[in-house]
Amino acid sequence: MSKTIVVVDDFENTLRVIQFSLRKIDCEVLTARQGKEALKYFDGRDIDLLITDYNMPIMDGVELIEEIRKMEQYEFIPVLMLTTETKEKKKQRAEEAKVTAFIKKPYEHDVFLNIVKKCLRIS
Amino acid sequence: MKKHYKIKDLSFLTFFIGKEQFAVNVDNVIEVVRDINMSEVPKTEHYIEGIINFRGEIVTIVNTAKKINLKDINEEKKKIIIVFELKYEDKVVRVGTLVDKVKKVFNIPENLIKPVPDFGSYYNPEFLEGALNTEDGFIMILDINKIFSTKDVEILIQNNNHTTAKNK
Amino acid sequence: MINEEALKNNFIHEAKELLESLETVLLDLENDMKDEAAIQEIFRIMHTLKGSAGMFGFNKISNLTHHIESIYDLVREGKLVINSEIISITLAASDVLSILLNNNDLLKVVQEVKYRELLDHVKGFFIEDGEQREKLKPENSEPVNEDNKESIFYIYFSPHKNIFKRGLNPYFIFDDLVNIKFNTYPPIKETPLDDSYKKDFTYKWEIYLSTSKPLSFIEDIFMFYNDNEYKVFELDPIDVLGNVKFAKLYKSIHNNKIDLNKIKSRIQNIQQTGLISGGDDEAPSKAADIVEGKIKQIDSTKIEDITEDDIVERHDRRTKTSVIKVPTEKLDELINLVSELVIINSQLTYLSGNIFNLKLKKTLSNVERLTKNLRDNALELRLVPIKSISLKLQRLVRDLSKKLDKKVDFVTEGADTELDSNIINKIESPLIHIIRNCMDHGIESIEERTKKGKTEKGIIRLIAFYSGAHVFIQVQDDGKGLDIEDIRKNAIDKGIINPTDKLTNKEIFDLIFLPGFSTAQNLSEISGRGVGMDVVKSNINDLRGIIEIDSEKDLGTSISLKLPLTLSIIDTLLVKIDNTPYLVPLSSIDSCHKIEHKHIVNSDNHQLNFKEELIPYIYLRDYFNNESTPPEVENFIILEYNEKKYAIVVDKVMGELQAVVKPLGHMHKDQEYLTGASVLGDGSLALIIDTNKMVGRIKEETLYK
Repeated sequence: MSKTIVVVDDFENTLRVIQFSLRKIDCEVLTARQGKEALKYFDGRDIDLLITDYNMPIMDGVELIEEIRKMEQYEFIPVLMLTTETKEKKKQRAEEAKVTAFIKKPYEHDVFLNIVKKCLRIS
Repeated sequence: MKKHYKIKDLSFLTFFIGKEQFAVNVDNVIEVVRDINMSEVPKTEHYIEGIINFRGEIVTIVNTAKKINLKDINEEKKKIIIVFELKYEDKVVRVGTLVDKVKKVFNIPENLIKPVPDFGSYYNPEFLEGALNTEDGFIMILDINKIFSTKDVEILIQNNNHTTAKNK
Repeated sequence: MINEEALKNNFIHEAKELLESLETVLLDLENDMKDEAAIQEIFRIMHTLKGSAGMFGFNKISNLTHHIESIYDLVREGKLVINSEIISITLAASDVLSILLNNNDLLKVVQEVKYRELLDHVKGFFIEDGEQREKLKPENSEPVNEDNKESIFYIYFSPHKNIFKRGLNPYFIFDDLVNIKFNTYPPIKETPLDDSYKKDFTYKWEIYLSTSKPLSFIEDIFMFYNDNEYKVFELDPIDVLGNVKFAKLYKSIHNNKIDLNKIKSRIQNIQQTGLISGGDDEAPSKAADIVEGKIKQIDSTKIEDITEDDIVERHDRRTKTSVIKVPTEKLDELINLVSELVIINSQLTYLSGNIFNLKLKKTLSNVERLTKNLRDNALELRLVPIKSISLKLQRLVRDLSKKLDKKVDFVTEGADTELDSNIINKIESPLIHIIRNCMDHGIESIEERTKKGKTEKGIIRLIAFYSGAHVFIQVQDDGKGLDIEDIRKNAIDKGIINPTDKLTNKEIFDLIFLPGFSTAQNLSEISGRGVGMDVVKSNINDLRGIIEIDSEKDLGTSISLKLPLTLSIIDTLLVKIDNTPYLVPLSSIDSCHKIEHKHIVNSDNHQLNFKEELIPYIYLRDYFNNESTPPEVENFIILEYNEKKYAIVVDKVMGELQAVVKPLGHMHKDQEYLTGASVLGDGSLALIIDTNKMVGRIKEETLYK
């Protein structure tokens, strides 16, 4: 069955590059440029993965995740956060932000795909 | 240091529809079936001849001549079915096609496959993958994914229905 | 929509620019081989090219730049010194990269040759120095364990209590380890039915495993886990406590005590038995024994073992369908064994590849086909309780009530009712839409309800039960109900009905299922996702089901789904029209009567008076353009649809038949009246008539003329 991935980033270009990277996976990609827009996708349908940027205006990545985790249906879905942060802070913040993993920008395509596939539990 | 590299050989099955000869890549061919019982399906497209039970699966038999809008001469004779495997909307499906004679299998090095010739071509390049240059002249290679999709196929470019091609 | 071409062309353009500057920098470097800035720049160019090339499928570029990058990395680290050979390699690489960027097919062969030549050269550059050989490996490969020796690993796995909130499921780790020999202490138990354990996860495990795979493989499995959530140690069976860190950890877990014998026996267990999951110190048994035991178990299940409780017979006044309930574990075992069979089958086929015996090949091919059919059939037997969906709907209701500020209770009756898993998957989406409608337009706000004298809390009921050869699923709410006048007005406005038309309430409710029908109120943020009730209806119809709405103002609305028990096997009536066999699903048939041909020919507008009812019908001979002589006596088969009667006329009725439905294929997707075909006992094919669609045809031909 096809997976559904929501991707959020205020830069259009990043959204396009990620969509392009994901073309090799059997999935539907829903994009949004703002947290509020992204929330509209969480309306009862099955969502298998959320990929969000950290730094976004109005509602940043951490706040978006908090909102989503309030909904019972989406309390436990995997979330990947795009960041330019360094390694050391990563593990500490993963705990606080309830993120599955951080993806450093810019990313290497193969590494990114590998992580996404692992989150979606596909080979 | 001189290097020799191997060029792939491709295999093509050629067959006749009336007097027209065509070719298909052998990779797409599952089996050539003769004398099999076909069940008719009323109220379907004009080019669907019926269905057969092929290895436990229902396979639709298409009259190739009708599908590609080629004037069909040998209505009676068709008894040979080539079962193809092709791609339809990301799925792999099987279709059986009625043809007249199956001629032979050509093995041709990849680099001898020509693009469809521009000159005096009566065939719509949209439905062709290329052409084989053989001693019998040019034989058009059919793009079966396009031809056996569910869309209409006009294989001839002009409407003057010139059915004998320049080869042979 | 992304424009892939544009992105790709963008990359090619940038890459070409990079290569141009590369040439310039190389010349600088040639003049001064110690130019650090130049070295850094070349490294940067290769690194950038490598990253983006990979994204757009230029794998050769990615690979080549990776190797060149390695060379310059060593130079940066001072392990290598620039010499003329390196410069000429880099120049050659620059040329090849230019060629590789060219998308022209004609150059493919040239590309391949030059690329390989250069790659060999670059690799050969490193061979002398063993240390540098490491750098040549592409980043994702692992050091090969040359002697394939098995190592023992100990993992202490202690996920943080919030692990699920990070979107991770610790049990997936065990899935990932499935092809490796491992034992866990304590053994992995089944998780409780409700999700409460996910909020505060307290399980921890010690895992012993034996594998020839390297440490990096294990690390990869724990990719998303923090350092404090898992600790991996390689153990030396002879000197177990030699690994000080391991000893320290072990002590801290086990109350400052180390029972060396226990550890040793656990290591022994894993070396010998290769059990997968579940460690039992008392009775380590061989995996082989367990499989044998399982096989014995299945053999010995005789028919007497199935008790009366297990067998439920359902009778229907029209059909006699008997159904047996089978415990799911037994089916799972069956499916596992059959799957094994399929695999072994493939092995057989492969092994016999070199043997040229036509009969053998034919037989093997038949065996393969039968095995696959066996597996498919076993899978089809798997019924799933509707509980899986009802839990989801419950969550949806809770979330929506918060969002809409309404108080709603969601109650399920008959959650254990089972459906074919295919059907379950397909009704999920329609049910979600129906619930959203209930929440949005059905249940009123708290004030409205109090004003009307209703309880503050609204209620939505999901009821599932069997009746005859069908499953019924009803969604009932005690909301404000449908406004008949509103619907009627809307339909008149849209020109669907005339102001003078007289319609029963039910017919008015049915109008909601017409495409494009939605009263202004219906389009809201919640349910206005573009899925109308017409899509819901066609989804249900695709499953050979029926959907109906009933409603009363201020009392509530009830939506009923009637679905067949399974999609793939249906009870049918075998009929013939001019010797061509057709199948009619038994569940839609009301009755069957012989009729003289002359009555058909003389009927008025395709309607026949039968027992004082005027029944519209289709004469299938005409419809199928059959030109042979009709028999004098034909058969009038009365179908029931939405409490109305319709009929089809055929030549002969042969009898009942349980048919396995096979799809017709993509070329028949616009088929007007068939729902598949079935293989009869004699190998011939019979077409299955879709009675719902047929009724639609009948309506068109008779009522609306």
